[in-house]
Amino acid sequence: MGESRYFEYEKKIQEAYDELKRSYQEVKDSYTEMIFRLALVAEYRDEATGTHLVRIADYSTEIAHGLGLPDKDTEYIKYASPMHDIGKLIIPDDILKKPAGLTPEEREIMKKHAKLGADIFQDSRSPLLKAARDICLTHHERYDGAGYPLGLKGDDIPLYGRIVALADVFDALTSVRPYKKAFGFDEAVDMIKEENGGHFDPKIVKAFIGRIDKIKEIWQASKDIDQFISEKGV
Amino acid sequence: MNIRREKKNGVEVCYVSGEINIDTVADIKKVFRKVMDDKEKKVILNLEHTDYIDSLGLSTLLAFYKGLEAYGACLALSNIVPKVSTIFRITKVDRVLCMYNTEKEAIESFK
Repeated sequence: MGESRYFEYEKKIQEAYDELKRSYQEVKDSYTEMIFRLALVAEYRDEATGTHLVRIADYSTEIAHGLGLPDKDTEYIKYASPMHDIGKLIIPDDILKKPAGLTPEEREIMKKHAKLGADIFQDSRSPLLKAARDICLTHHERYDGAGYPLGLKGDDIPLYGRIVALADVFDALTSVRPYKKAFGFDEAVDMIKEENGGHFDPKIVKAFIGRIDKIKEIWQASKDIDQFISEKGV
Repeated sequence: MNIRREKKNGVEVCYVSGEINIDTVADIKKVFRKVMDDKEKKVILNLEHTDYIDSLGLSTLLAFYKGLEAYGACLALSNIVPKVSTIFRITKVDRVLCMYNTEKEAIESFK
């Protein structure tokens, strides 16, 4: 084969590769964009803020780094974690928007959001959507087996679910709710530590504490965003 | 992450590529600081090649906006990819920052 012919082939292969890479990136971007958009719908109904979604992704990503997970897994958790409450889309308004004091029956209906969310992603072949399914289904499980909906215990709970469980509780603790004030950063961290081996997997707690400086940066940044937005009155 | 400055028709355009996140904001802040030290009055962030922004990235953009506003300068964002604009939308940041589809439109907005 002549040298010029060889370079011509090489160029064509490179072009085909670049095109493939571009297409893959487009598909990936559409997926992740859609995930955030879907998550947004659920949050709108729950009247929580969008910064919560970004924080959940940020906290979960930091924990994944703390665990030393491969980049691919960290990326799945980053994009799938905001979907954790997507099942709330199917919970009736009168229960979802009740400010406080759910009856035991209503609480049982509310708990169904975990399974309902998982059902949305059932049987998907996409690793990202499989991660979303695991997260929806198991982010209310507890390491000691006292969680819901399945009452899974220990490492039987998928890793992604164990990570988002901690991220979600930490975020709830440090956020204002109609029925509670926001706990301070250190106070919330102490409450997480108290649940080491109870609510949370000790490996996840260790990873979270190992990244505590970054976690605090995220917490502070998000407070700054919320304050800025509220000052602007939008 | 890479950030590059370019002057176009008297407007300072910053091209950011890669993620604006907890690991990259320190470098981005340095460039933003320099833009403010240079007292640039019209600034555009072209985000065509920014594919993700996290809480640290958002708060850094808002701090930049405030810093510019403090001396009467303006900030506009352009060429935002859908994934990033979705994040701006869910966090309501899109209601504060001026955003344009193209860099040309952003430059026009300063006239």
